[in-house]
Amino acid sequence: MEKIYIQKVLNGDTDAFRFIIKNYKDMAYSLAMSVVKDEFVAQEVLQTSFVRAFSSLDTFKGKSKFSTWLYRIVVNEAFKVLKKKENNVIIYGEPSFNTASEIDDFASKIEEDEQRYYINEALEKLSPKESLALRLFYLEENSIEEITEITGWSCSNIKVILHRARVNMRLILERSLKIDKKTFTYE
Amino acid sequence: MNDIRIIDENFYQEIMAKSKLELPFSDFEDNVMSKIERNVSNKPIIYVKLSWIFFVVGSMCGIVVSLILPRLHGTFLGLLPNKLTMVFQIAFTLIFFFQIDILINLIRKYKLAAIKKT
Repeated sequence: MEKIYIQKVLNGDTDAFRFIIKNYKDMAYSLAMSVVKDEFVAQEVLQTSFVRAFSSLDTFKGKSKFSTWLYRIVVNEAFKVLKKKENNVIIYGEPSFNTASEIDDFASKIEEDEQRYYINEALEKLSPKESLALRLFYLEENSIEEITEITGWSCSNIKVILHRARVNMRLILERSLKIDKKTFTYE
Repeated sequence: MNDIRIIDENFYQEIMAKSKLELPFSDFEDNVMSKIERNVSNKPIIYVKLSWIFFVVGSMCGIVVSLILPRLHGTFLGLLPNKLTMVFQIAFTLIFFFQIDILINLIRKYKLAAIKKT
């Protein structure tokens, strides 16, 4: 479907690009947020990325998925902005234990909206690379090879980042649950 | 061990499915599209201006070279300076008029596009 719209844009129908924006803006926003952690900065990143994608659309040869090509632009732009802003990120250490049962109850204990809140809070606390890797691998269901193409990181590096991201995510979720258990009861 | 890993993978798949964010700016699409349209309409002007700049710079370089060439001593590629100057000036004149033609067509195209838009 998107191929038709890409062709339309290449043939001079600028308005056909609206379909591409509509289709990819949320995922692109999720990826930009993973890196820059600020909705207004993420919006700027997205604007620049979509404009750049439009002007260089003729360089997309269709060898990879369009989403991979577009997300690479978004991720590059996000890291460029992040470098400029020199944000300090919190890096969590390895947890000394994994209370799996506590986390496994997570889905059943709290409501959908709350789950979303906690998950996105946790992702915000993760380092840009970790949250980006998690979103690409689990949310967008990209393969390691596709993540390599999007981010430019090596396969082994991605595996290490993913492992660390999983561990830190679990740790942050455990902490959030413990803190909130003192304040709220879900039973 | 494998079971734990599968449970883990399922856990992350389940929670990450809920991590998709929605862009909270309703005017985002319009903003991007207007930016794109502005870029598209400004592009021809930039191209025309750049073409003229390069044309003028190229012409000046050509004139300078054609003035320097007769003053050279010795031969270049087996050609004496006066013959070399003549070959260069013929080539320069041809390229000059060819480029002028391209520039005139470019301006004509740009004007037609501007008229169509209005």
